[in-house]
Amino acid sequence: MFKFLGEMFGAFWVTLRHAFRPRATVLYPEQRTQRAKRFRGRIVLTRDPDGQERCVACYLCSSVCPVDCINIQGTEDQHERRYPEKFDIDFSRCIFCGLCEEACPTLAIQLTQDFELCQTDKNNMVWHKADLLIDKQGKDPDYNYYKHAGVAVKGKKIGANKDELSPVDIYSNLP
Amino acid sequence: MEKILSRNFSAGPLDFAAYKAADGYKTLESVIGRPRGDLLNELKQSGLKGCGGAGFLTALKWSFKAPDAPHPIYLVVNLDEAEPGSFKDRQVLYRDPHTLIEGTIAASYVLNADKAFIFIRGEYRKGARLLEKAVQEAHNNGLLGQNIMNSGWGLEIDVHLSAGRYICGEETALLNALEGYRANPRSKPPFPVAKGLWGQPTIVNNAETISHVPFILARGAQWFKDQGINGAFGSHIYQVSGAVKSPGFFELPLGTTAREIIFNQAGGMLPGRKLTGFLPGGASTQFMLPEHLDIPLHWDGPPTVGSRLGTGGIIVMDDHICPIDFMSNLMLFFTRESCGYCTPCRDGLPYVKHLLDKFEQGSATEKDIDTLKELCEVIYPNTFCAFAPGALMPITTGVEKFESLLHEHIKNKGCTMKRCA
Amino acid sequence: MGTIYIDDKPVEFEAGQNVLQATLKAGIDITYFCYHEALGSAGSCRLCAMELEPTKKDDKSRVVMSCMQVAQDGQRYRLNKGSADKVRQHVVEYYMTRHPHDCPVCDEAGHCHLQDMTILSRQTYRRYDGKKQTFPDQEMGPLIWNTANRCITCYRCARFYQNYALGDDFGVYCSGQKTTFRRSEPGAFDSPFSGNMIDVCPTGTFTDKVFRRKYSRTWQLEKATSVCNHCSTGCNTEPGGREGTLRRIHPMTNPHINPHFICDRGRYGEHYSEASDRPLKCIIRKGAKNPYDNIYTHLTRCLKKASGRIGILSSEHEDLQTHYMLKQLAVHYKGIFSPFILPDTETRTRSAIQATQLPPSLPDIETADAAIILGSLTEAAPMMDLAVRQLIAKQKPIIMVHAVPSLLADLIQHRNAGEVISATPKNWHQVIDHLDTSRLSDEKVKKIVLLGVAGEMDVPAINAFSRLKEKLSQETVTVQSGFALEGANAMGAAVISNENSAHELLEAIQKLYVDTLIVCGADPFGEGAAEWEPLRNKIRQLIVLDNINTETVKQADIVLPLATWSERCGYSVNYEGRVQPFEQAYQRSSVISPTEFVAHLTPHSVEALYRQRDVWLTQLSAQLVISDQMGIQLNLQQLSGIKNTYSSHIETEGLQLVKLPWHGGGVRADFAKELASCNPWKDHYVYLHTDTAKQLNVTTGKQLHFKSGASLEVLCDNRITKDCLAVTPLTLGRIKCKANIVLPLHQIHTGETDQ
Repeated sequence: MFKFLGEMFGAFWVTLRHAFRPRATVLYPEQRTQRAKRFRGRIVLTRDPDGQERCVACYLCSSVCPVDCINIQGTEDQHERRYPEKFDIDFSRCIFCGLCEEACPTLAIQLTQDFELCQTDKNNMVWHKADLLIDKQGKDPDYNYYKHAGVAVKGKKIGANKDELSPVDIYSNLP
Repeated sequence: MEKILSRNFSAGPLDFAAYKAADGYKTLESVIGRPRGDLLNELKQSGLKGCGGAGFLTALKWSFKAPDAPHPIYLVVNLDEAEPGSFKDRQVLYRDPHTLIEGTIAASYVLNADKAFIFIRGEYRKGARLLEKAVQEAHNNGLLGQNIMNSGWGLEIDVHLSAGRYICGEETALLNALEGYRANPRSKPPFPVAKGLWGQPTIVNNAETISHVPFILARGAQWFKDQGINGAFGSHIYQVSGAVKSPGFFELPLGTTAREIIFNQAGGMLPGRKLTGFLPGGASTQFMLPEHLDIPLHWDGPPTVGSRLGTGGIIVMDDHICPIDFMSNLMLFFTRESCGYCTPCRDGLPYVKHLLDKFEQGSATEKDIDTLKELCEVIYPNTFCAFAPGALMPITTGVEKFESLLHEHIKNKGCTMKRCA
Repeated sequence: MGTIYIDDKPVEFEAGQNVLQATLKAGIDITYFCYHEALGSAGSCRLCAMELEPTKKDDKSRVVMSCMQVAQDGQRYRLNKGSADKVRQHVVEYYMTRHPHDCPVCDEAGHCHLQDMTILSRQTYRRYDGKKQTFPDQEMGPLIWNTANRCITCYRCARFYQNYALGDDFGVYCSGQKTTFRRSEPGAFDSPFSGNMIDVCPTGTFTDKVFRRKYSRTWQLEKATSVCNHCSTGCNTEPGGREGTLRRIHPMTNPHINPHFICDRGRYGEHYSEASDRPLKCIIRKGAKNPYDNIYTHLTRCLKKASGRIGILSSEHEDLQTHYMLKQLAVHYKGIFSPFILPDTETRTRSAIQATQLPPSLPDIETADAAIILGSLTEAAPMMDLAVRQLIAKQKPIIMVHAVPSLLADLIQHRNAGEVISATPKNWHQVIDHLDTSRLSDEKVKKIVLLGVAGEMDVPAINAFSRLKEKLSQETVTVQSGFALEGANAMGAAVISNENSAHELLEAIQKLYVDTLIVCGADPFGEGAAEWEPLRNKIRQLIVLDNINTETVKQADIVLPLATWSERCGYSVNYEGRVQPFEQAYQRSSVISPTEFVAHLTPHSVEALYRQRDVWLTQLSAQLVISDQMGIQLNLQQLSGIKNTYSSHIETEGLQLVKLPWHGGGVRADFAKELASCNPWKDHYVYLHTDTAKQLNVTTGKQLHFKSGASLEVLCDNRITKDCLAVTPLTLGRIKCKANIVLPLHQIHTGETDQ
């Protein structure tokens, strides 16, 4: 009889003991967990340190995307700098694999730690460029692709990069 | 030794009358009219080799021309002397142009050529004017034009001033330049002796070689052989540049040792300078070290230590010059002079220069020595023409012979010679 | 002939081929840049290195460049084993020392030969840390975009432009690592083939500027094999479209017509489908439509009411399938069908086809021993001109007769490659009969090609052409004669229609037998205004299907948007009689194909119509010799119904009005705005030789009045043949005169004052 009571109280005691232990549960949405630095959440398009958008519409992210959720149409501005005139991501298809971030050569497209993307209407899950473009550089604050590419854009002439010689003077045969 | 090419230099440049008075054009009497086969044989016996750098047996090159070669046949005299360290052809041009013309006429006769082009480096403008005047004089006196010396054979000489650069010295690039095209080399085969200028049989020879020809044919092969020493045949104009007391040119028997030339003829090193190495034949030859000073500078001498005679233009390197800097300077010249046709030369040579500069500036690593060696190994045999192999000759030997210096540069993070510019 | 061994694998080769050619033909992957099948080997890139094994016991193997090695039977090469691999990797590394980091912003990425070769060579890591040489870009006109930094100096562009296309305004500058390729001055290229620089260039140095403005990666494009519809050569193209719009035209290899290249008109002219004023909606201007009807119900009702009084007009620029479908429509509604707008065009086309014998394909022209050309070939069929240029490069004799300025005539004169005779077209029959062909009687001449431009020749000239052909044909000499016809499918139009169909239709309208006209892909009130304008008020219902905003579309009562050849499928017959199918490359939502159109207006379904078409085509080819080449080739001598009996009265005294073509112009190509901006001739002017101007007592700036009431300002230009008045095709429509008519002097007035 005491043994039975002892076991019962023992079980209750374990339960009681656990009642006052700190919880593992996070009371979402009032409290939020800390995500890992490389957590793959919402996709953003970043800007370079000069404030121009980094995306040059190279179509690499849309091509590598395993579910074809990215739709791009590129164009150029009047200074011959390429940018996407249309950049749509269908988040109902996106699997947040991060292949687009890996593929991007200008470090434009990045995955952030935000995962709160619910919508009630599936059509609202298609995000356009205005929704994706952010003001800052995201994870890589220093990279400006045009400082490494050979093409000229506003503010950078041909041959102005650190690793380039000045352009050939075609009217002279002197070295 | 008898002075052949430089016999009139102290009095020159001689005009036609004075040249004739000094026994000029006498050799033509024993050349024109003789059977061409005999003359070619005489040349073969004499062992004359090309003085433009390659050292190919002249008579052998001439014998490649087919007996039934279609006319017109052309002779091109290559006076595009742009090899750094070479200034011998210029002497004949400026000081005794008629010797050159005499040689051209004799060589053209043997080859049965109809027209001879003398292709002169663009910077030798004054020399070209002198030569044009001399050609006109020779023409007026019946030594050019139709039926020279009643032999039934005629010759016209065209003096052409180059508009290009170093690569025009390459024989097929020279032909392209003469035809009015960009001076890119052509692929061989077909060789110029079969299809050269405008598809016709063409022989291209250096000016000094051509100038020797009438004397060999007139005096005989044995006489020419006797002019050389240490087993070589003939004489040669050697040039010396660098920190020596009297740099200049000297007509000496072929086979003279470097010691004789540098320390006797050129007066030896300047006070306070020590010899650390030399390039025996212009910039496109391999380094020779002070221990090789006694090797006779003829065609077979420098090859025993991995070098070559080239043009005989000795560039002396002393202990005030860092060999790495020296090589980098040479590469600066060669990268600029590349014609740009093939990739290993156009893009590979600047890569070599960049690596040499890294050593000088102190940013080099051990890996760069391996890369440098690898580059030299791969570029050397895989280019379109012989320009890049020539450019790499001093580098390959320099890297090999001065490797310890490369390591020192890495350790020192820069040039170890504080006195180099 | 023989076998060589590459990595112990036997590879067959033909006599004269180099090792690289044999390797590529065997399908083995090898890196190369400067070799091109049409341009030959240069030996400059040093990338095709292979190791040749020694034949003698004590020799060493050596690395050779396979494009410079003529293949010899029994030679053994090592490709992937041995020391050649290292050489290839080094060469790629050398290229990469100065190639800019441009791939994401480069148009060529994805179809870039440099990318492919770099990956193939497995040299993909960079150890060079020096500086890159950069180059200034050059403005090269509205068609080509230049980014000189990316150049790898393979010399292909210079070899194509100077040695193959015989142009002289583009070449090599500077030397060494500073070598760059540019024009002597900024501006558009002079050559009609400059667009091919985009294809020969292995990197993104020369890219398509028109494509750049609506760029898409090439792997995303919807492509198909199509046929160019801008001239009768019928080169194969590959249109690339995306999201319902045309992005670019790329050449498709056809070894029998265009093995490598296409002309600028074919490449850029197709962008007329993107013109801002292209009709893309159904418009009903006259005839009230019941709001519950769709366009087809409305049309069916109109046509049923007009049954028996219907005329259907198409043009030489529309394909054989369209003509067949429209003919079925005509049968259903008892109408008259004509695929020719003007009777003169029909006459010329039929006569030309009669005079065609053993029509020379473009490769046939390139391998001929001599050529006689009648007309401005460059402007009529540029690819034929490119084939003739290969004869000029080989210094074969050429004789050319022309009236309007032609780039080919200029080239022949400039290079002293033959004889050029400038004569008014009305005198050509005399010129041809008295042509001095002595330079062609050399024993080395075994094959002569005789090419005529049908649009510039009248029937007497075509008859003289036949006589010349007879004169030149001998036992040892073959003569191949062909014509550059006046439309891409002019030959097909002649095959499918009855004799005199154009004249019949015009007469029927004149006599009020026909009052409803369906026009498909034709511009009778623009191009054919001379004969059609007076009949406009006799046509009560004008229904037009077209894809360009022509004069006819502007005057139409009902307009339907027509699909272009890239947007639908069909069959086209080129000047040789080669029937070629073309496929739909991409789908444009708002446009209609003619088959669809006919299917909706008749009880047949689209599938049924296709079956009927197949039966007809089988019957057509059953009577004829079928060659085993791509597409059936019709034996023109056996075709019936080619003959033409209509002929108009030909004036002989006076000045001849001629069309001024240019190599990028055409009925549809004129609407491609980037290409049309290069037109050297101005519309609404008349060009005269100064002697002709003196004859008429005018100078530059004065006005010339024509009988039709129109007047044009004069521009004197001594390139125009004497006794000719030259105007652009658009102007011809405006002044409502027929091409090649001879105007007696009293029909041309000069104004005293400018009006």
